[in-house]
Amino acid sequence: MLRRKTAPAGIFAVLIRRAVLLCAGLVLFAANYARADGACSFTQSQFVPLAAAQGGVSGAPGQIGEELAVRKELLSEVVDCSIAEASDLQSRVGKLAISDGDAEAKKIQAQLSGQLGSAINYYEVQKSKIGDLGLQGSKDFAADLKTWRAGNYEPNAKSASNFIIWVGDQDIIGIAQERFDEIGQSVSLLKIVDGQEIQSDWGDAVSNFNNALQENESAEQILLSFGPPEDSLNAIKSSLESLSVTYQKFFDTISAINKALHPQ
Amino acid sequence: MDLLDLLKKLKSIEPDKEFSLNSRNLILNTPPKVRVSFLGILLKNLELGAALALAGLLIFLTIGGFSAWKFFSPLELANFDATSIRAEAQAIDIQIKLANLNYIESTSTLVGGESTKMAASGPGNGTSPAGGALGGEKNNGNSSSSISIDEVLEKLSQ
Repeated sequence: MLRRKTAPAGIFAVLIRRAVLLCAGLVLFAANYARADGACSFTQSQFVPLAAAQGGVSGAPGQIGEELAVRKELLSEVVDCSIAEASDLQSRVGKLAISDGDAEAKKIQAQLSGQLGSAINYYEVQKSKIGDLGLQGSKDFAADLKTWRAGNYEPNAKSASNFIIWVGDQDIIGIAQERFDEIGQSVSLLKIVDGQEIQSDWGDAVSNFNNALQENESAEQILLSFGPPEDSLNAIKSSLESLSVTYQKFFDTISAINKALHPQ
Repeated sequence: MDLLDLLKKLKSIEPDKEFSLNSRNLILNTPPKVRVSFLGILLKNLELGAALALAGLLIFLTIGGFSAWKFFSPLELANFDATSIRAEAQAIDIQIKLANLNYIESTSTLVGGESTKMAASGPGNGTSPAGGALGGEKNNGNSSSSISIDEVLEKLSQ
């Protein structure tokens, strides 16, 4: 598909669109750090009361009761924090703007949102059990919750984080596609001229861009099939890295075009 | 002579040749009636204006050195988009940084500021085994460091 911008209004529209994209990227980047600052927090100081309770006369009835109370308090905080963490992620996944035409992405969004919702329900159920725990039971509860998180919550949460990045990639890839078509048109025109360097740089750009598209598609399929989050993240990174190289080749191609048109 | 004969005579009557020629010349030389209307005047002016504009454009292009090659030149395209391409490349770099952020770091860590209490009161002082587990291991003397949900659960399981 060939495309050429000639109307001033069209040029302005494209410029504005790209400026908005860059700003959105910066905002997203900043928001990611802001989110970390606003997440649930635990510090060593929160364990001071527990250490104090454990520091009394060993085996005394009062000591056990005090330690258990502190442990339950901490477990409640951990579960509340886990619920907040899952809810925040679920909200971010739900707010992703995905076009109705992208059925597969819509499906991934629904799946991830459902899984995070199930995790929230699980946490709620676990929280209701904390009141009945004994000292050993509270330790087992903590160990079980940690195991469950590692086996169930974390893969889904990582996939959700990967999906958020993947959705952001689609806008970038769309703009890269337009750029690819635009420069490709110029390169086609220059085939009539002797431009070996142009064709060589452009060939690299084509190869890298195709690889970026392929890895992007692969990431979507991994997310769709509940594949390991490490795999989807690797595919996303690989796609972006290929896209980055593609842009470098765009610069090289344009430079070669300039050189061909203005030989010194 | 009855009426029938009279009618037969009328059939053979012809106009005078000179009269006929004069009459025909008169008709043919009469100018057609010109209908003057506002629309007609407007159209005529538009036609004239368009012709002048087209002529002006042709003169401008000829004198101004119009070049089709220049118009479709890839150089033109490259120059125009250099800034945009750079912005797009930067957007990709930002996205790569986002992808590189560790999930754990972005969702479950934090900062505290009450380090001195911890150091003073004790879990890391070695008097309590539980204290060692809660404060000493991860802390390594820096009690202000944040810990994740899973680290908290790990400590609470001991």
